[in-house]
Amino acid sequence: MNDTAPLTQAPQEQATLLQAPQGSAHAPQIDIVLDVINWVSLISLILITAAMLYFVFKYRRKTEHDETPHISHNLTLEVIWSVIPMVFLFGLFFFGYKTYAEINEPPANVHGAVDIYVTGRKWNWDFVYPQGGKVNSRSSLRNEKNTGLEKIADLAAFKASGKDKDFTAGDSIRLAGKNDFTLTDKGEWVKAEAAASKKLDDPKSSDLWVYQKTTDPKANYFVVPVNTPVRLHIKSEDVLHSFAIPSMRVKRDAIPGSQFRSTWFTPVKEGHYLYTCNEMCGTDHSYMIGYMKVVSMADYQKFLKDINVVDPLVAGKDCYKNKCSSCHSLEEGKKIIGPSLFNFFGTKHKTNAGEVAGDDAYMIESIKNPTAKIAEGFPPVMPPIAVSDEEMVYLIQYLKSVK
Amino acid sequence: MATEKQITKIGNDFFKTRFVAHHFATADQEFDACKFGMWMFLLTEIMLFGGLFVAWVVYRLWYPETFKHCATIMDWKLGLVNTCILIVSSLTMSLAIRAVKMSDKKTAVKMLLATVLCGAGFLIVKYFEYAHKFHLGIFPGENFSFDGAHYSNAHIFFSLYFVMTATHVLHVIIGMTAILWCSYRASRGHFYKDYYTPVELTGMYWHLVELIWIFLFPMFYLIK
Amino acid sequence: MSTHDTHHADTGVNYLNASKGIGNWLLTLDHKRIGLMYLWSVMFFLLVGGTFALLIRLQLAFPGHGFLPQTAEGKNMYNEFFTLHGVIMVFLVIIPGIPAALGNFFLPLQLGAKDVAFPKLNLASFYLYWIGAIMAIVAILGGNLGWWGRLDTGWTFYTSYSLTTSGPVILAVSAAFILGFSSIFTGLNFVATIHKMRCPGMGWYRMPLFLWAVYATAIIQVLATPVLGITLLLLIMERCDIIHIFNPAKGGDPILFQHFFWFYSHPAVYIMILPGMGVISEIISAQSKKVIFGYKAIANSSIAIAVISFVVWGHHMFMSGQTTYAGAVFSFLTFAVAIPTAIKVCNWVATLYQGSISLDTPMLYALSFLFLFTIGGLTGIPLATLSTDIVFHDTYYVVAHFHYVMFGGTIIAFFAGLHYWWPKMFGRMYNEFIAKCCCLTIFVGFNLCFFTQFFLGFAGFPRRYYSYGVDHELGDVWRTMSGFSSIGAMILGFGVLVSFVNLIVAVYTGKKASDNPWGGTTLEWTAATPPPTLNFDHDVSIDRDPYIYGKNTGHH
Repeated sequence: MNDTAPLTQAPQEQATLLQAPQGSAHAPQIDIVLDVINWVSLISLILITAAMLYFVFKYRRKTEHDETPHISHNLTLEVIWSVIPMVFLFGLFFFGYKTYAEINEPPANVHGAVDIYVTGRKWNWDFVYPQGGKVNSRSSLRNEKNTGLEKIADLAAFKASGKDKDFTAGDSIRLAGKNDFTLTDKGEWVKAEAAASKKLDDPKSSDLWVYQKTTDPKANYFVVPVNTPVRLHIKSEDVLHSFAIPSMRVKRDAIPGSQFRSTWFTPVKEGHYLYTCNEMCGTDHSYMIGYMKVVSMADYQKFLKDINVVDPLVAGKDCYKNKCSSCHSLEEGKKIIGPSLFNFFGTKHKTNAGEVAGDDAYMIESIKNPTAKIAEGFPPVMPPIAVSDEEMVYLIQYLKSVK
Repeated sequence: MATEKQITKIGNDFFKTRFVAHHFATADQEFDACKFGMWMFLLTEIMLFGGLFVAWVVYRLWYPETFKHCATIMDWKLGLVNTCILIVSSLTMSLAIRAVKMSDKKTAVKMLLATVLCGAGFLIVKYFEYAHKFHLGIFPGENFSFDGAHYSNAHIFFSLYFVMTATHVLHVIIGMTAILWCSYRASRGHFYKDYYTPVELTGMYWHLVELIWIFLFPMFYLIK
Repeated sequence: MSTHDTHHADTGVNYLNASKGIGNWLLTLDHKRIGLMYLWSVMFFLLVGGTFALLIRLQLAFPGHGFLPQTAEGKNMYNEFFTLHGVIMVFLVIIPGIPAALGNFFLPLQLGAKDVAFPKLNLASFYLYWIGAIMAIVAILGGNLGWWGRLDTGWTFYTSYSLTTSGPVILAVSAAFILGFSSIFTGLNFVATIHKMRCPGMGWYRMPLFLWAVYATAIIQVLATPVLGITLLLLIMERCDIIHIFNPAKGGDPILFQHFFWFYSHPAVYIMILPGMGVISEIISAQSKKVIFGYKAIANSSIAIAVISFVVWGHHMFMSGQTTYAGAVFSFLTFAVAIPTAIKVCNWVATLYQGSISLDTPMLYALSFLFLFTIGGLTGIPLATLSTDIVFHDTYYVVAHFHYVMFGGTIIAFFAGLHYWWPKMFGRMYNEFIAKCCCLTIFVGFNLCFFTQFFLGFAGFPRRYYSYGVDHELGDVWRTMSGFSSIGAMILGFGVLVSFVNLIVAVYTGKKASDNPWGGTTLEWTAATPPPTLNFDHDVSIDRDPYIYGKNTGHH
């Protein structure tokens, strides 16, 4: 999907000095809080500065023997300037809290909401659509024709040319029209992994192709429908990242571990909006950027069809069969080694850590860190299971679909 | 620098010269300041261990089952022995301070050495405990190979166990060194009823070391 | 009034020339010499840290790839720049800046004491400072000589990145650990000194406000720094694979590190600003020849800030998936800490009323402080407010906000203090005209550099970016504001450099200064200039308030 085709160029609203475009339904709500704070602050600043400058001018030293009055304190005045800021500050706190409480945690059931599972890693994002399909912000794909690179036959020649110095970890290159290599964190070129070479298969030409990170966000984008609530479930695979879309007023840290952290928004204007990584994550921190494209529902459906390479239920079933079925049945009440997964979601489960709701978080935690909470009546014998985030999304859907 | 010398004779013992540092007005002020400084230092120690206690609480809440299970591997009897040893050592330390306050050199040295012995006893018991852990495959770090069923986070319990007890052991060793130094100086007759600041401060430190163990003991051995 | 009118026999012997030779300086127990050695170190590291800041601004002056090569090496070098800027400025400049340099020098003088309570511990703190500094320097050099990777974690050392990077994290963290102990011992020393060594007659509410500020600071240093110590120790052990508790791959919690880190580092923000507030209280009163307005309110608000600062750390983790309730509690407490700060600002302005205000260099800095610190404080509100923090978290808005507090507040106060006390420290007066020009240059450069960054924050410019494109809806703001900011940074750097030169030149060629050039009434002005080794050539006692300007007090 990461072709460099131009985006649909709807007239794009630009940021002003004091405001990024208000791309989401809750953006005006946040901005009004911000406006109030800014006005209160500005007035306070002007009052303090004016008083200061006035006093400095009015009471500047005339002679070395100026006499000044002994004013040690004034209780009334001090109470006034303690209470007024207090009232303002606590008012602002409440104002800010109220908006936040509405937008911070997405409700469990939003009619027609779109879910996207965002996984950060050094240094790209995966956007997994539970309908089956994924886009990756890895990098831009360029044809390196006429740069001299296309003539290079193998890795040794490539290194000898000195051009390998231009690449950073995570970049991929195709040599001699068939051999794909990726640069690792340790600075070694290794045979490209399956996922990367699959992408390299995309171009029709067998010339030299390069995946390289870019500051051009147009090369990297994911798509959401306009006027529809979007829930982002954000997680990291390695170190901390933070996923932000300034024009949507959305930000959430991507934290490695067993939990997706969710946030949500409703885009209200078609267009393309920059997303960024906001938590220092190493060499290419500043390259984890790209566009979120807001399109009409019809275009969104078309996009889903384009990226749809797997049926989520089939993929989920495969995952269950390969990784879960030897210990967990899908029949009601049937124990193999572990508890049955029938009707796991939406019911309460008794564990050694108390009663736990059967939700996505508990499922993921149980797979990645099985002894954190142990179902009552079962021995703590499950080892952690390697399940990628993409598989996890499909697996959960599959388990939910079994009735 | 201006220093004030005092030589005191009490009973049949001659005591060594003492100094009031140049910047203090009186010996009392110096003693008060030193004691106050030590209290502040003990506060920093409490905050230092406080961080570790919080980490323990957090992970116990995260992994209650693992913690319960791991606690059963700990030998509470050895822990109890160590607790008793430290309580006795606190007593001997207090008696040592009482003795220097009464200018009783012999008792002071005896009691200080008894405290050091208690500390050594504590370390010996701790050595056997660590040895037993290593025998079970419970090493700090990458070599951790404890196969207690599938408690996949057992290493967190033992990480905390090793960090906290090792930090505590380090404090015991520092305390013992300080007490040995005090007993050497006491035997040379440096301390008497008007000057015993180092013994007093070392005693405060030792009591804190004991107090921290009083918390560590239930956290790792008893709560199941 | 037993001390104020004392005249000194001019013996020509003072703490600077009492004994000669480098050994006498390096082994000195005199708080003034230790303070001075701290001062030179801090000024040196301020220039080093500032150089890294200028390199950052140079790189970001234009969109695209700046002057660094667009290779992994170039990017890591940039990451090293901002990490070193942060580590050096926080641990080597701002935290020890006012307390360890000016505080060490003037705390015993203002108390009427001969020295701090534990002079040997004081010297030990100084050596710990340098051991930490040298370890940090070795970490930098090694990264550049290829001994190991570059230090690129940011000054916060967040896990899990700090567990995986190839940079010298263990060395740098050990340096911070040791610097932490330097800070603890200084704090402990000051608390004991203030409690036990006030001169006869000096009750708590007769202490100069600078001492109240240093006292509140020292309390935080003593209580908060050990938590950083243990956190860094755990990080070192985790990186050495001795334990596993922050690594999510091993069932640990990387966010716990942030909680521990900010439990220290948020109070540490007040370690940085409180002493600055103390300096400003002194200068505003002396330069207006007027009793400080609301002495007790200012003194007590220092303590209030110190106490509340311990319970606000969670506002650094609003975006970490904290529950709404935890967020609300931390947001509320953060608003609470703003109130004592607001009270202080109002008191300072009220002190000016009906004063006799001179516009000497220290006062110019103090007035800049009032303006800049007020902006710094007010721009903290959107970061404390839960909903607006979503917009600004980890953007340049935060960078601008804390530079207004840390530079516009602390460093400006440090400069104010330097210019205020320089004549007392060296017995020489600096060139007043150049000093005023520098103050103006710094003021202009600073605002150009950092006010523009607020706009970058509004447009979501993320922190710690090595380069940026502008081909998007936020691009125009990113380009123009980054450019202005870089110009401002260069002006600022120039102003700082010249003012240092001006001060240092004064030590050698300045006019001789009188004992009390500003007409101050706190005890340090009653000592000889420069003070003798034991500070006062007579026994000091006091029977009055620290500030005794004005008609009704019957003096002058």
